[in-house]
Amino acid sequence: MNWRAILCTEYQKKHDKSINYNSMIGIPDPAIWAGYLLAILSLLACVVYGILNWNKGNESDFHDEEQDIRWEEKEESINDMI
Amino acid sequence: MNTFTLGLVVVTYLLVIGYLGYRGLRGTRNAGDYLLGGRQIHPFVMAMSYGATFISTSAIIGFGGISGMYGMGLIWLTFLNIFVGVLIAFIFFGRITRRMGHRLDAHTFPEFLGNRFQSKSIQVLASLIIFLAMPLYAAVVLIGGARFIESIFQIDFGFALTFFAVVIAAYVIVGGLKGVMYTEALQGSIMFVSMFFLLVVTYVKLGGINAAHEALTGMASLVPEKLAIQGHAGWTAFPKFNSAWWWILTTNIILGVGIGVLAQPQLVVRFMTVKSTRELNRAVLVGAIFIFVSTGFVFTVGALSNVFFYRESGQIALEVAKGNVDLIIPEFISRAMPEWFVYLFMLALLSAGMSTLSSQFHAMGTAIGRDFTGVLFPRFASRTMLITRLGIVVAIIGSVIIGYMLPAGIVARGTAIFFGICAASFLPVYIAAIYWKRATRNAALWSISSGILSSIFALTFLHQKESEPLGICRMLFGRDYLIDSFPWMIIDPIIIALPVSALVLIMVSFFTSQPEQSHLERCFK
Repeated sequence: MNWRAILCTEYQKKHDKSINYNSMIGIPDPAIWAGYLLAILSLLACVVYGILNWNKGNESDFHDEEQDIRWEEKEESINDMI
Repeated sequence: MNTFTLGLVVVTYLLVIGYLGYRGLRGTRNAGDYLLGGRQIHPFVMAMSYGATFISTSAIIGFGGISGMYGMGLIWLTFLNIFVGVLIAFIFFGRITRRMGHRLDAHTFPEFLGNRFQSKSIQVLASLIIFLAMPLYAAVVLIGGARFIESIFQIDFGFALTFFAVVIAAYVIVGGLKGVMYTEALQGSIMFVSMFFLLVVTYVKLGGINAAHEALTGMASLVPEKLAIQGHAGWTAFPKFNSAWWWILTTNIILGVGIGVLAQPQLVVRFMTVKSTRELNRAVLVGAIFIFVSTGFVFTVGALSNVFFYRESGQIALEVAKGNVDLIIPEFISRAMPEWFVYLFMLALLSAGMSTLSSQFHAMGTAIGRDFTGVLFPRFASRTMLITRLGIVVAIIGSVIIGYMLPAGIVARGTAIFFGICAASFLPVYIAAIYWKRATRNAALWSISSGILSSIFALTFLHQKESEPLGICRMLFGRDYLIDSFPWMIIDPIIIALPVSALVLIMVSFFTSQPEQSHLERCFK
């Protein structure tokens, strides 16, 4: 059974127009594929940012390791309490 | 499905999780080791560990089911999750929150706001909002897992909820709150592989990407008449502009969660507990990939499930799930996927539930033990541990009870309500805390108060979905919602409450005295 043909015929009957098979990956509504496009572009932006900064920021933000460790010790004591 | 096999798989999984947790804790001798160890962790372990904390059963079951009903428009939520929840959150909020949080010696979100604005009232109020509102979110996360068990094993929902809650509670009480990186890494890996497999098999079953999408496009004529009247234009089309479904999808589902993610107390705590800014930078890459694969894939699969169900049974997804959207993804996995994958998916849901619920219970426990009791009743300081643990137990029991009481198809909506409350109550104040020196203590207190009050008002008297079942509006005014001109009864409360909260913050700040310069220097140094 050719499901695609049956469904597309039903769609054409209802909307009185044919499906644009040249649309983006079978999705005719620009509002949908624009969403996919923006999601992929945001993903790429995050990947590029992550790669460029992969090894940056390993040092203490305060140039004070002691402050980080003090904070960690208190955090550990809170977690131990739980 | 074989119950014995499931039990065996779950017990084995818990044993492995327990072993990894024990290994992780044994290797940590003191805070310095923990800090340095965290900075030397293998990138893969770190990547999967971060990934696990991003996704909950609510996203997979609840919002996946919503995409089965609304279609691929849900992909806009994936876009916002990546753009707002990762890119903006980690780059513009993460580092500055970490630095300020450490300087102010803050360990919880209420403590962060309280110390920043030098106000115990803010700390107490924020803790109360978290402790009272978060059980709703925890409940829908539990329901997400329970619906899967209910559907796969054809058992009573109450029993499924109890089983899921007991497994999660055992994990949390035994030590899951510590969030050991190796356990989270295993959980993240299971979730990642499951989502990837789910999408690939779905496309293979439906004849490829284009064929699947075209078939779904062709099903537009099968949209039930009552949904088409409300604006449903098919599963590969966005609802008709300004229709009821357009407002529901954009404000209730996409905006509420997409923006609300910025003011999630667990996320803010996560910023403060990372070992260095480098981890935040790496989390941007990892988190984005993880969110794309998990939410983007499951939203696509949810929409495409309509094609599979129609071919198999001549029904659309909503009909197969008997109107309960939370059953769409479980039904699809049960019918379309191989049996071994059902077990893997069960572990993926357990992983998603464990990682999310452990951070939620942590937030609720510290809110009541450290931020509420610790501030209001300092004479009970020696009993903080007991109160915090009691708070966690109460939160777990409360979440399960709420889970029993909530109606069907509530997972996505419950999540959106909680995210909306957080956004309206905390987002303007949180942004001001890290970026606006002129914001004052009184303004922050008024902003949080107006945010939570206007949210409650909108939920009780304006938003039909909640005001109607609550019945308070009808009792007082003789109708289900106060404003009956379209679209006020269907737009999400966040659209009203967030601007109110932001305006109050700005206006009150200009009419009240500025914070001390020395305090600002300490915060923003």
